[in-house]
Amino acid sequence: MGPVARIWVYLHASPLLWLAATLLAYQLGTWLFQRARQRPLANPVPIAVAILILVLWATGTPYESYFEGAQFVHFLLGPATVALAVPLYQNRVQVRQALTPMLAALAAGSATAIVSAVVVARVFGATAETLSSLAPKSASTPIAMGISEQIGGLPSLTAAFVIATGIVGSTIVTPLLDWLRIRDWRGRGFSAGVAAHGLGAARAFQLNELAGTFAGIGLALNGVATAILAPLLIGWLR
Amino acid sequence: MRHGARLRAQALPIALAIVVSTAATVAVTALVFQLVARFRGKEGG
Repeated sequence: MGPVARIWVYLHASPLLWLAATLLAYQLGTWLFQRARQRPLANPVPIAVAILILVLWATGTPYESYFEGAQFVHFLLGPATVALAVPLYQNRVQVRQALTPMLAALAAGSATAIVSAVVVARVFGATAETLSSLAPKSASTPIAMGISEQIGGLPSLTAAFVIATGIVGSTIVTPLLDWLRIRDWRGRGFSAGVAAHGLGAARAFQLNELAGTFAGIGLALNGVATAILAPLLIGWLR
Repeated sequence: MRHGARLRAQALPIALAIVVSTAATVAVTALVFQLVARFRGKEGG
């Protein structure tokens, strides 16, 4: 066995390898994002995901082995979600002033997310099980998976749709809202959180702290709204 | 990849649904927010 193969065997046995690979892939994605002058299409999350998929595929590594190392990053999702309360508290006056616009936008946005996904997929021939899996795609993953199971979808399929929605949403949100001439950071952030959950919120925080605060509120409220609306609407839409 | 075949067979409806619906959700949410915020602003004087 050559020296490179021996190093690989040693590293492969350590979960830290995949933690380091995850952080490096994201760092590389961020570097490319900066080099591309922060263009939305160079979003660091899909770049990091693509790099990791390629590495896992090229090395024949099963997802379970990868997750042994990556679970440390996964664990940090909890504290990161709780930390959203800090900017929320710091901007509490603006949040309180925007309660009515937020509730109106939440009702319209949450219903649009469910109805438009199911109607488009149905028109193009998706099965009833796929429609139910698609309906909660704008909520964050654990909530969406729970809703999907309740309405006859496949939770693991829904998880994939949620990630795809986050990537699409965080990529299109800036050019789309620029085109619509929406200048208010509160509305920009809130729509990113409602449509694209945590990935939309991460994108909003990259651009503006107030937008990030409203995106955090949007993703939390849309989890609740989707849990109420999806079971009510799916019966009519399927 | 338990759902690989299912995803491949319905790739077009799924991709269209995700892209169209996400764009529509961003647009509707932001427009309604802006509309109500402006209305409330005028209402407040």
